[in-house]
Amino acid sequence: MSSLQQYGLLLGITIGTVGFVLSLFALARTFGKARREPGKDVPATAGQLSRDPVWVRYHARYYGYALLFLAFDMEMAFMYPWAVVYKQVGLVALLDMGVFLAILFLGLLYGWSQGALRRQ
Amino acid sequence: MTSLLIILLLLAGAYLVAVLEAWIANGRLRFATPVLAGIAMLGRESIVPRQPDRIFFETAPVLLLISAILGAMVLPLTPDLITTDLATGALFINAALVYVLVALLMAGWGPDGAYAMIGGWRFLGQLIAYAMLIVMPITAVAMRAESLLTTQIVVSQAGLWNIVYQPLGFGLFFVAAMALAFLPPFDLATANSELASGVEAEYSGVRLAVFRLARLTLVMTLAAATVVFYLGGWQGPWLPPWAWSGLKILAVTAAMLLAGRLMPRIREADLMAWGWMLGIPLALLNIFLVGVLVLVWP
Amino acid sequence: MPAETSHTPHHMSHTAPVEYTCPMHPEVVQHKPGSCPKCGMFLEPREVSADSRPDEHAGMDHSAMNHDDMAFMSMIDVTKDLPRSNDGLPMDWIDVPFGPFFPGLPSALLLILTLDGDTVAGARAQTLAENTALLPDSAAMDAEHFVERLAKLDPLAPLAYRLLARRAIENAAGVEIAPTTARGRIGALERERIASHLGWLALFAQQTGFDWLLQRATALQLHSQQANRQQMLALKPEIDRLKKRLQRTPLLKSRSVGLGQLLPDDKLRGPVARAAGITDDARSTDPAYIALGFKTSQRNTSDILARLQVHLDEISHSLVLIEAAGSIDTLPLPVVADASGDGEAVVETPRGSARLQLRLDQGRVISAQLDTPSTQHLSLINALTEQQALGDALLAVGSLDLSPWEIRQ
Repeated sequence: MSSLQQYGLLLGITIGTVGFVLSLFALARTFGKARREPGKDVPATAGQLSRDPVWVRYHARYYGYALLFLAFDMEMAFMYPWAVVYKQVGLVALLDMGVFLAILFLGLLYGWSQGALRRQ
Repeated sequence: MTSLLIILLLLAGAYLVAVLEAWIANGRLRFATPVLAGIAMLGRESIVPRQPDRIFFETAPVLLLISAILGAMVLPLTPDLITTDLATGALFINAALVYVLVALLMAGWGPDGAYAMIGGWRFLGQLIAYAMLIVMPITAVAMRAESLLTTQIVVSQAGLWNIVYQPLGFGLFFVAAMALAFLPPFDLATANSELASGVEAEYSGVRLAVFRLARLTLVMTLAAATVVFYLGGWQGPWLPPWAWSGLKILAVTAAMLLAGRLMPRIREADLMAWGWMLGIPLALLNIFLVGVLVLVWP
Repeated sequence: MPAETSHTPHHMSHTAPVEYTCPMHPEVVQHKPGSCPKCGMFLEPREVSADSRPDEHAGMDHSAMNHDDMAFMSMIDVTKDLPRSNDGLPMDWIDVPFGPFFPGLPSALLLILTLDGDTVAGARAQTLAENTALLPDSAAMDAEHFVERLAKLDPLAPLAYRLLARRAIENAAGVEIAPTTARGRIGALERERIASHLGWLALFAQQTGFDWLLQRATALQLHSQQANRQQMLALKPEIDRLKKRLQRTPLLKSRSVGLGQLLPDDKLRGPVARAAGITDDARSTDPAYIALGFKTSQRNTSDILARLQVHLDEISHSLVLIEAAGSIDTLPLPVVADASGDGEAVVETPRGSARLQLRLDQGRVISAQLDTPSTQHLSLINALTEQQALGDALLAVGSLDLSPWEIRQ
């Protein structure tokens, strides 16, 4: 199977999954619709009918980690091709990536020392 | 044909996970319960909250299911029983499983409910903690196999399974996989007692059924990934390959489900701190150790 | 530059008409307050100025939401009126109700948390258990009826309140208690304490998603509620096993050390006080208890772990007391024919000491005042949850072991 065919198959499976879910919805629909009753569609608030807006500027407390995460996530894009040819290239590859990771790791240590690694 | 078989196996697997989960939770082994519960859920009303972000709300459960199924498509159960033996298989499974985050964020934001929204954002924090511990150990696995082909990864463990060759990587991957599947003790996004089920709070009826099915499939996919990457896949004496795959996957699933019952839920602050101050240094150490090992003792 | 926002309209004083608009959907404009038909948010008031009548500028005026003459959306303008978090970032805070039917809190307790992200910026707590009518405040009633009523006050500790009422009445009537009766009462009270403390453990387990402990503690609690002395004593190895298991449980320590700390304060009662190093225990001055070899359990760190340890210690010690007491009384109704007088009693309920003062007149209770531990603890919630992560805050509230039924507002 060519890789194009493989991705075509994966696309087909995706569409098939959507179709499966839609048919579940259709099956559930044959049992009946949700009855409209007052208060039913208010989002869950443990017994209180609260209608305060919650789509707000949310204070994510982990932004220090999040910034470091971006750097590390980028780095992983380089790691995979490197990992595949690692054994062929040998010691040089270990040193190459070692230097790269060491610099990145220093970045982590620096961020750590500056208090990035905590709940802000 | 193979794809259909694998999807059926995956669904059967999700069913077995549900049976296992109930067995571990209340000590009763009932094979009809998940099916009955599923039918009951289809029969219940599926309420859409007032003025939701309808696209996010409706897409989330489906996306979660697609993510879990696509992840499983690159994992071999036997040398031939694999849907797509992608040359980038080990990378593809990462890409597919990142959509778990997208789905949970959508499920959190969509209904405009406080519990759900906090659950969604919590899971983003959780991803930042576990994501590196999924990808870094897989890198070390690929280093040994010299390939991202999942079948090749299994073959590379013929002499010695990766759980012995790189135990550190296995430990990190196992824990991170539990966090990815938001299983207890990492169920920050769906914590019942902190957020009244969080991102699941606004789903009911058939939508909840899809959500639950997706979660079960996800657990199955991650257990299969653990088996392929670390437990030698289909390899084993006496029994046929498919039996070994099945047994190992069930064992890993049971371990994942059981672990969460025996300890309290982790705090978000601890999860982030340990993930970065302990997990990532250890994952880097693992890559280095495997790098040396591969050169001196392939 | 358009400086004024909807919150600070600086020439609101002259009679400019006010209209209401949605912060997210500027095209929604109404003349009355209400909620947005598109997203349901509350509409914000703003002034209609003369030069920007809706017919001229399609409902725009010089508010912060008017970006007609701005090339970009200024974050400074949008956020300058928002509350500041402790890291200085301007964020929207939301009020989220937890309760009265929240899985991680005692039912009937309503906790409204102001959340800044998932951190608690403020808290309000109240009980919705409307049983104040059960309290014998005004109407006179005969003593037996009074005891029955007080026993129904708190379904989470019925026996302790029954005992409290009996002892206050006996005190008022000047009745002496035989030592064997006193010991039987201790047996009954300590049995209730064990059941209640196991309930504390079950709530802790429920809040932290610790399923094994939840199942174990609930089973033991059910078993101990109506058990006789032999059955209670048979629980000892089980309790010991539970304690040993908890010592080895991973994550338990990180979940509880240093969290939910309270300063030693005269509002603290019961196990919460004893975890803070305060030897507040009505039992330590009771001669019947002293005769049985009672000693208080105490910890000093005043965090959730200390409360956990105090509860575990007290379960074990209560078993010792039950063994020493020799029997478990059933607390029959008091016989106080026509006595009169003032009476007072203090009973160490599972949640802390409760005090009852009453006046008896011809065998009828004509007035009574009750002070309960949960009433005191309710006012601690704000200090306890301030700037805590949501999960920690809820766990800390749970560790106070509030009974919404005994809270008197």
